Amino acid sequence: MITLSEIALALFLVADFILAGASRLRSAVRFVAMQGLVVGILPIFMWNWAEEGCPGARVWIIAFVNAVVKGVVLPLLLMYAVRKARTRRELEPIVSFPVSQIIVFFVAIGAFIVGRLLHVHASSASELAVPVALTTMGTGLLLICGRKKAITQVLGFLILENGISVFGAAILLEYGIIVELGILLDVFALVFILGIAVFQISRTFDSTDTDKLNHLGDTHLMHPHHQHDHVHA
Amino acid sequence: MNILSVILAVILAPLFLGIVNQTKAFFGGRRGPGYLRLYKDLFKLVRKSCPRPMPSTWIFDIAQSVSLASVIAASIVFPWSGVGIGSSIVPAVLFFYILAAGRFFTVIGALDAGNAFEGMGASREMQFSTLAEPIVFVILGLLVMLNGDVSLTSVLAGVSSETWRESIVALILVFGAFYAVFLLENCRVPFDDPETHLELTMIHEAMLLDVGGVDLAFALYGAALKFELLAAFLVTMFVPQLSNPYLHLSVIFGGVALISILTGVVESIMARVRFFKTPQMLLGALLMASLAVFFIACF
Amino acid sequence: MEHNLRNLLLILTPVLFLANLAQSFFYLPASSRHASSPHMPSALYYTLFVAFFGAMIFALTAESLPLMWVAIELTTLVSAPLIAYHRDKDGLEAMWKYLLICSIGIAFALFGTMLVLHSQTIGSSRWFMAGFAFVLAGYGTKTGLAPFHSWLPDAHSEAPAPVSALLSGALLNCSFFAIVRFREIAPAEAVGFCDNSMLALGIFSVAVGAIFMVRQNDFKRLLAYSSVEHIGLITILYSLCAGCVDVKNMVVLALFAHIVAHSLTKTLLFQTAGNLLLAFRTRAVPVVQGLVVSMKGHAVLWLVGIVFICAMPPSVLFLSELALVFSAPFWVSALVLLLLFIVFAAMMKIALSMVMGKPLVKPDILPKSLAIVPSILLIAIILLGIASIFIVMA
Repeated sequence: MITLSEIALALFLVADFILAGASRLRSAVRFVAMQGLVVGILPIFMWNWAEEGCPGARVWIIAFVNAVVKGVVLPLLLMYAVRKARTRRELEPIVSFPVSQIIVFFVAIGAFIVGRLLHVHASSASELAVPVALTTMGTGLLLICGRKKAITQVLGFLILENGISVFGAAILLEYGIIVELGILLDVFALVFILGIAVFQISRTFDSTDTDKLNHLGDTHLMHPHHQHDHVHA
Repeated sequence: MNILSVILAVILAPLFLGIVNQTKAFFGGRRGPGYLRLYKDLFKLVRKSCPRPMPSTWIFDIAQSVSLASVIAASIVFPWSGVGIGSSIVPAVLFFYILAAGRFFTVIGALDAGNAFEGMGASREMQFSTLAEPIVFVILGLLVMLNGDVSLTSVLAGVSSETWRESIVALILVFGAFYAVFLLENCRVPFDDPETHLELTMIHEAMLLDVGGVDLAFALYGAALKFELLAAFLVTMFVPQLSNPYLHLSVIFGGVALISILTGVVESIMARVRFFKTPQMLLGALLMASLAVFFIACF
Repeated sequence: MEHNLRNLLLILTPVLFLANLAQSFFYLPASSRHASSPHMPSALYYTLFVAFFGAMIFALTAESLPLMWVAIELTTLVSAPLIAYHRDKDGLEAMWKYLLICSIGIAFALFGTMLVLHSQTIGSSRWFMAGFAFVLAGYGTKTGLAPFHSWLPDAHSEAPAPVSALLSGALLNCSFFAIVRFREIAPAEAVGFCDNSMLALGIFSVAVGAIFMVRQNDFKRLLAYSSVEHIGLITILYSLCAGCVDVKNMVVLALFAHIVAHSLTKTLLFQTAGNLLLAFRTRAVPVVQGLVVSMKGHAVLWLVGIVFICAMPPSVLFLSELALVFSAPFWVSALVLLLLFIVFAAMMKIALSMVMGKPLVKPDILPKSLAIVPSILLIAIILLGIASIFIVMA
């Protein structure tokens, strides 16, 4: 089973590279869905079958719910938002796609060095999991900071969250079922609200570029013509 | 045995493109042209004469033949059944340069025809293969690092089961990167579409617009052989060397068939990317290969 | 100490909630009369408002650290739509920034929580320090500590007044409490690192608040930066007394007093600012001038509130900041005093120009009910201030 989890983690790494270079939102959502499925199943792959036998109902339930929500429900929601907001692709990212891939490459190297130094003391967790988690988190942050479309930023947040979940799986953390489901519920609700916000932004601003969201600031009331914009209260 | 296996490889080559097409037909819900279609096409083409465009010179005449000859030469040195003819003294780099020589002749043949579309295709072909070269070199470097010698036999000696256990991630990354090169070199989706009918979107096919008859048969057959050769390279990279040459040969052909099916699946589910995305995808492949080198070197 | 702080916040938060709920009853009808843009239905507003309060109480009472994380993320989720009460471009922008920045912060807090829990299972203080750094950055984002505060001025200035007041008075304390819980379980080797990093962030927050208050043109943003400054002061105070078991300690008492006094005074100020916004229909300081002529009652509320938040006696904040200056190392005291002086000058200049300046625009007449809650709060903080002076004397 350890080999299986390593293959899954390697796919995760490849997905990070592809996501850093993906401009089509639909295919990006597909890769995030793939990551979500893997994140859900990972605890079962990492389970120490040889010594602990078949995992209990808790593990199965969490894995199933996680995989369904992160791999199916949220991607469907995002696909719906992509369709509604009529944005197909990221056209002019702040950090260009090749540069993003190079950044992810160096993040991965750094993450593997850090993972080497840290040495996770866990019995059956794969040695790969911590570096992959860190790389995924870096990719997520890169997508949030380096892209303009609101939906890509939501995707980046999901990738970041996936990376954190992989880390949780790696250090074999067990919170208990309520907390795990609570975390999942929070993520779900957040993506839901962000999806609604994307829709409203695309309707109000006629665009989903977040650089249009630059009106608020410390100086905007100094221009006289803005004072009339602020008549609401 | 060596000569026999080379002859077998030369004969079987068009079959694998048939497998790709049948897989695509299966996913598209069509009956497909059949596994042996390319044999029939080739048979039809060799009976035709080859016309020659007005401004072209003798270069155009020899281009396709030389190109096919180079692919056959490469397949002769390839160790199909474990050890090839002279593969223990041929460096792996030379193998790729024999293939590059074939490409060179295709390209100057296309330029010689004096057709604008062919010139465009030639330019694109050269651009992309230049970008693919660093990936090949990084991967070759990795294999040399693993196996300790630059000759084709030892580079392709296969990955020991110990390496499999320890650095599976690196191997997956290498597979992904080399598969990208494989698709690019064979002009498959997502880099090029062998079935496109629009000259503006062609890469490889654009260079063959004026080629007909026996020359076209040579070009098509050369493409099929190159497909088989690179797929076999990909398979041999990962499969450990087997003592029984017959077994080795059949494992390689089985692997090539699997890769043909994989290619058919990839072509069915992927659309072809825009031209200016291609360098970026190749960059991604290069980075993955470099990451693999990093893993193997440091862990 | 953690226990006492939790009890204090469990009393303070409902008080603030009730004050702002009452103000909402008066504020929302008055605001919908003026509004030119569509806004959220009242039923949804009150549902979310109550849910926001519930989430904060959940965060304060949550047993385990991961459960607290769930609760704090929940506060973000239910308060975000409240910020976009007015469905216009600015409201959406503020909500988007709030959601995205706070969620990233909170994601880091989750990562930090995992590291901390792992450090407890393997007993390594190094892992704890890494975890605490992430927790401080993560919950610090929600707390409004500089440099993670960038969402705060936007959200506080765009939200309707009762929501701004609740965000500033209650939510910041709740997420600060989250940091406190992590600090209280720090192993001995990590204590120095935790306290120093909190002290540094605290001083930086005070500095950022002070710098951005100078030449501020928007009076709600002025209050938002004042919140950044005060949360910085609270963090400094805490870093001076972290891990202290004795509740009778001067710094601990100062910390508690500062939290209470800041929350009440800031609520008063945000509610008054909301009323001014309704009357003048702008948050621009150059337009809102001469309150003493046009709106005498609000002039008193505003000026006294600003004087109190600047820690002039008889404000409780005066005593707590005095305690800070006495107990901190010399260079910290000097730096904080200098920054507080800048804050005082900036805030007083703006407040005085708003109160005393030459009236430019004639404000709309507001219903008298809008001033009820702020007046009660004003009386409460004055009484608290006088009482605290007597207690200290005695």
